[in-house]
Amino acid sequence: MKSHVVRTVFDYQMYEDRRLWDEVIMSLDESLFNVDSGYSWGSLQRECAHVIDAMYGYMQRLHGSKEIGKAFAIDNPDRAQVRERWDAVEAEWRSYIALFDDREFDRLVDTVYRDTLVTVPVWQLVFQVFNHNTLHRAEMLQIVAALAEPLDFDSDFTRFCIRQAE
Amino acid sequence: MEELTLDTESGAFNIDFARKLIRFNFWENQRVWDLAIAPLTEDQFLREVKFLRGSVQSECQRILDTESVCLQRILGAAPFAGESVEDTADRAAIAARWMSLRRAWTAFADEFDGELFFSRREVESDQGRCEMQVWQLVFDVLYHSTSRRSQILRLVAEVSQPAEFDLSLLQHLTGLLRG
Repeated sequence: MKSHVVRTVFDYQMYEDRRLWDEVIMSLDESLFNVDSGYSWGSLQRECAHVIDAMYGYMQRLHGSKEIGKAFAIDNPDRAQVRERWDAVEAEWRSYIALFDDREFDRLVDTVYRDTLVTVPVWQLVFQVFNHNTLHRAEMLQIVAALAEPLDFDSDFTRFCIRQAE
Repeated sequence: MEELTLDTESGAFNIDFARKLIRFNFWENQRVWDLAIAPLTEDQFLREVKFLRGSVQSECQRILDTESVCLQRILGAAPFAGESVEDTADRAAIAARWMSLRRAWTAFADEFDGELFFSRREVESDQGRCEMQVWQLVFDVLYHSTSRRSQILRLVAEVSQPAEFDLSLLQHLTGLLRG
């Protein structure tokens, strides 16, 4: 049953990520994608790269890797390249979550976090990614508000659940 | 959407993870309060940042509102009956409410079990009336407050020089804090 919770929350996270891309990032002039806003990771490009790195890195941790690599093999990717890499990492997550069960939820993983070896259950890494994506979607909306215009873009888990139930 | 129900034949359903997530939410609220909000002057606390359409004060009220309403939906009673948003207009009042809401949610987390986790509540939203399960209301608070804390830190950065610290679930769960 815990795996159903994870799958539902994962669907919500992917739904919000898609909305962010389709309704916000892709609607902007591409020249704004690399502009440094002076806050946090600076540009939408760097925010997106950071989110992709985190999703990629935590997937590696879930598969037992101790050496966590970078998601991007190129420097300074453009918007289409970032989107392509985001979609590829998201697809890996979709495959993983499709097979997720309650045994996986509680499986213990040895991993390195902040230069320290820790043993944590899988659910902590999975919810870390969900929390991290939520945080950075909010930061990206703030960047867009600073560079372009304030947005009416509410993300709401209740609304998502109601829509899914319809 | 797949409907979740408690399978009583499989024994007690361990929802310790949900308790930890609730405690994390209110721990991180407190961290943001102590490290980012408390050091502000009153003027910085109230200052409107136009492009973000809000102030630190208004974002604090939004977090309080959502966390109060969700707990009310779950428990069926208002944690702060008879009080309005105006009652939390100044920083001292918000701080007091912030603390008592943390206590109320922590008490709820202590009582939380599998049966309550999957129990249903009638919810009135802008989309009408519907039924939701308690776990869905809990996650609504988690993700709403996470977004709002991010917004608060951005607002703080616009009006002052904030301390550097991370927001992270895993740092709370592992105790490996930064900042």
